[in-house]
Amino acid sequence: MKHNIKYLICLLSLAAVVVSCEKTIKFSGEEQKSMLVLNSIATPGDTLGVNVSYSIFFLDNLSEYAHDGISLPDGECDIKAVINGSSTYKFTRSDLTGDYVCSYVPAEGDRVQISADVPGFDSVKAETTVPEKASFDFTSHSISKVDSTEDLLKISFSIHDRENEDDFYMLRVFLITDYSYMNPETGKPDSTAFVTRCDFASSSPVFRKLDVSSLLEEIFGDEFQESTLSPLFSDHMFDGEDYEIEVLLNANHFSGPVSFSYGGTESISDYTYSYKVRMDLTAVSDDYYYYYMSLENKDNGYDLGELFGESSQVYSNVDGGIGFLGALTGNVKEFDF
Amino acid sequence: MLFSILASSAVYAQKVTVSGYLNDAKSGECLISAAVYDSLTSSGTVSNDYGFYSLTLSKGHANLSYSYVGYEPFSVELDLTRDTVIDVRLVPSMSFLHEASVTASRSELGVRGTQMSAIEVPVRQIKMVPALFGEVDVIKALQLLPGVQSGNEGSAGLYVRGGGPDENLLLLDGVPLYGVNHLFGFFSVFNADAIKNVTLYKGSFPARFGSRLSSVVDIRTNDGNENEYHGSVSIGLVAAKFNFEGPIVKGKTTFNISGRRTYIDLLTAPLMALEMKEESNESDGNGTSSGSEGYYFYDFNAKITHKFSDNDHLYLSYYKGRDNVYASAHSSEEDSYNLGDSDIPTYYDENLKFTWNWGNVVGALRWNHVFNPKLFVNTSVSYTNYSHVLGENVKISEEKDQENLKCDESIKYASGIDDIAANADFEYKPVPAHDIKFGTGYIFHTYRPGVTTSFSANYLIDGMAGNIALGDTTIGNKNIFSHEISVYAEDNYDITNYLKLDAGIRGSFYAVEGETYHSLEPRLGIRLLLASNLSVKASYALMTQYVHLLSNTDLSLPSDLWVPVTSNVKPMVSSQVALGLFYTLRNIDFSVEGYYKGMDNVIEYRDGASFLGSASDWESKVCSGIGWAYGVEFMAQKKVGNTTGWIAYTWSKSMRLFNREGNIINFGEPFYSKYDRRHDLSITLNHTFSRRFDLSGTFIYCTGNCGTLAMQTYPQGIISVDNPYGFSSLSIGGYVSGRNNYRMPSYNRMDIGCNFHHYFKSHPTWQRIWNISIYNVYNRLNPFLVYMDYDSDTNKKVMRKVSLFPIIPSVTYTFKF
Repeated sequence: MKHNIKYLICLLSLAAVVVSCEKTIKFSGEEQKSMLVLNSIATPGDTLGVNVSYSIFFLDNLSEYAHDGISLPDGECDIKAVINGSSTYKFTRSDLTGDYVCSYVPAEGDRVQISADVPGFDSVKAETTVPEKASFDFTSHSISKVDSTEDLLKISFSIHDRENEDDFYMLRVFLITDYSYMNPETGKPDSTAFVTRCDFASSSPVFRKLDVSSLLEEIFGDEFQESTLSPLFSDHMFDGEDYEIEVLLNANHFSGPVSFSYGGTESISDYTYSYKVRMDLTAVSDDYYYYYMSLENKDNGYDLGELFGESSQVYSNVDGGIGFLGALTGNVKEFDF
Repeated sequence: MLFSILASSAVYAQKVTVSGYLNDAKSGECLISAAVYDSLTSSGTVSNDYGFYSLTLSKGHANLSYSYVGYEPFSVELDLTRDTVIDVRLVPSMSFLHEASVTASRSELGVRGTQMSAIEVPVRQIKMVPALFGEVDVIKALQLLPGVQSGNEGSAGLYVRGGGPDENLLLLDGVPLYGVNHLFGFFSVFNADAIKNVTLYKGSFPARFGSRLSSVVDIRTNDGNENEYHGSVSIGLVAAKFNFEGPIVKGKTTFNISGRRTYIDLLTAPLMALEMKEESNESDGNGTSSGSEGYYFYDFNAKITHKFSDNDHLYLSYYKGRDNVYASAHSSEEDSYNLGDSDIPTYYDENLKFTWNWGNVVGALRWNHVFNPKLFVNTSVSYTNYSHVLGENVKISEEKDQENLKCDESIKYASGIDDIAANADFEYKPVPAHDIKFGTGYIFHTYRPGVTTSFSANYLIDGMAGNIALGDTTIGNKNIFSHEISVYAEDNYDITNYLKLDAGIRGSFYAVEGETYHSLEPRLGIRLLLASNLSVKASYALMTQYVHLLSNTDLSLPSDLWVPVTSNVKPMVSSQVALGLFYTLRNIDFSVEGYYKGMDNVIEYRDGASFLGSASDWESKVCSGIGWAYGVEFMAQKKVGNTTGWIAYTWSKSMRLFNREGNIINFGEPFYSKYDRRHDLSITLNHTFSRRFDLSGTFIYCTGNCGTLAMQTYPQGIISVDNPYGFSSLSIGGYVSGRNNYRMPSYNRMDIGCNFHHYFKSHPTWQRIWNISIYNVYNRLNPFLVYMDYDSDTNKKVMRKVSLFPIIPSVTYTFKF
């Protein structure tokens, strides 16, 4: 079946090619000049950095590598951050990473604006607000056996959403196995942790489903991957409320008792271990939410989506240019399990 | 002219009603929208879709004239003292293009009627329009009208006043059709030989129409000649056609059948069989192979009409059309291998059959009844089915050293939609000033969104009759059932001689899977007569649509799915206002019309989503938003004379906005609809030089429609869920400034065609016609799609277009008897 469908598609395509013609044409749109590209994420506790590059018109005969950074001395580029409309920080180029860095460390609630003036390009600027930390509490958790090999971990938590504010969140759940052992090299007690981020399932309507199966598999083939959920969601269904969400995880992600290497020369077989659940409910700015979601849409486009599907637009909030400036503030809570 | 007058014993105060049927004198075919006019009272009416008319006048003298395009007009003077039945048979004009054949009381669509935003295209004109591969196509002809656009080169889709291809109600003798395309939209399912009348409504929808937002295409098929047998046979570049009609019982029962089939596969089948035979002869071993593959489509229309009496007519009509892609292969091989001192024989046989077909079946039974001269009813029951099936069956038999293996495996994918409907439509004309229509309808829909069925594979191993059955497995979506009920009433009211009003209301109710929706749809049309040949009209219509078509808008694919509204995807609604000026001068109808249409709950695919794949969870692939479209249309149309045709120009704009929570496209900013086209000009002209020769041509120019193009590349910051606090990498990606941000190159094309007629002296009804036509005369390579490429000769990036149809000449031979 697979073979014949592909054969017929080829046959019909060939028929179309036989009667069709191809010709080089002049681009009928407006030729666009290169624009500055800014990419930056602001997060409390980390100094602010920005990657500055430029775009290339798709018909320009430049290599893709031409995007690699702006190679101009600092004195000729004016890239700065203005915080809360008052404090100004100038960026300088890092020889190590090629990015531009400054001394500003974002804090919750800060309004961050990055602007760039580079000779030969139009000025650009982007703005975002560092969100307040999300507020949530665990309410319950339980484990149940699905079958002889699989355990299901249910965790419920309650988000305390701010009223009359558009809030956006990212949820990540980690299962941690803490190992305690006697370090044979030092002779002293030591510990190490294996941290596994887990995909979760949930019946809550706030989460968006992502189809990860290949289109060709879905039409022709036999195997379907289960859909996963996007970790991003907004508060449009529960603005200002205390909203409870239940997530389900495969408890087998806890790494069980194994012989492991602590990084030294001997493997450890005498140890104790304990389990922990870590939940990171990150508050993200609206720009971050739209940008991340647009990357998800682009990634979830089907194999043939470029031909038959709708094109994906990657979000940009850079005025006069392209790129993304977003912000996020994490809030991590754990409980022993 | 033939007529009969029957004086009814019914007398109604000072008013009497003249009623009857208008038919073609030669064939007996009913004449739709023929004009009936009393010059003494300036009262008039038109015949309905079954040729019935009713006109209430004051007692006394009347001067009635009957007229229809292409026929000799007929007048009669009489003294009316009671209700009178006058059946009139108009004679086709010998110079059938007689200039002054239509008199003052024009049809509803003309200067004097309230109906605007509607165009009737004579089938004769449609048949003269030069066509792709010589295949006359009703839908392609409609695409030449103002306010109507085609999708892409060769597409049979209709995009009317900013609406999508699923927003058109295509009616075949009153029954909706769902799949109207052959060969991915390059041809439509309508065989022009079977068609009598085509009317397109783009706005100002009469209350009897509903269920779609943008247009209604009302297609009526021929009833059949009630006096003589006639027919035609035609062979063209792609397909062969036939038509045969005649009486079963003269004057009472008629039939009409038409058929069309492509035949390329029939011509290539022997060649392919020969090639496969030669290949198997040349191959090593003792194998044989044979097989066939090909593609064809066909349409078959049949209709039987029976007149029980003047008051009761029965119609039975049937349509079946199918596209079929098929392939079969059979191979077998006898061989042997050495095992010690023995030769072990082996035998292998494989039989494979593949089929991919799609199409419609439509059946309808209609009964017309005249209760009295003022009240007419048409009741009907109908069934329509669109189905798409993809299937494969493999049978394998293998013998090797006492081991026997037999395998029989099948897989089938099926989708489609079925409707069972019943309707009753009444026409009541109590007084001359009022023309009332009312009725009701019910449709039971069955949506089949897609089911894959895998049958069991039966194995027989080592002679042991054990079945290792994989089991019958069915996966996919269950059928969805829905009920749709509608009621309507409208009144076409002559307020004064100058002011006419058409007011109507339509109520609809829709129930699907526990959800119910209802809608009240007002309709209003006003006509102000400024002079006998000049009028201004205005209209308003609210429409509701309860179904969507999931499809790619570039190609019409058989796997396109009709799905109903759900709790998440609400019914689409449109409100349209229009204002126009209508003028007639020397049989040329001029019109200029402006419109504005607002739409709600329109759907579009999300970024990255595709119509391909399973239909499960289709709701998550689409977003719901609003749209608006406005424009100005100009048309000059001439239907009679040696030179006929039309010039149509449209300036229009069509936008979309998706900014509701969870339904964001283009980041909540407005964007052009995919088939937004600013300028659209089409000129269609036919000239009859003599009975033996006529020439026709079309010219089309339109600015390009929209597409989404990434015109910049730039480093995109990639965020991983494992570390969302920074970029995991920078990846070069395309920058799309907005959905539908790119305007395709403009489109223009000229087609010409001519007909050479030969008449046989020995048989006056026989005729031979050679049609020669050229599609795309000056070989304009219009873009079907564009893409970016790298030219290795110049070492430069370039933009390329793919064009489908260069200059294509075609020849068609038709024999009529």
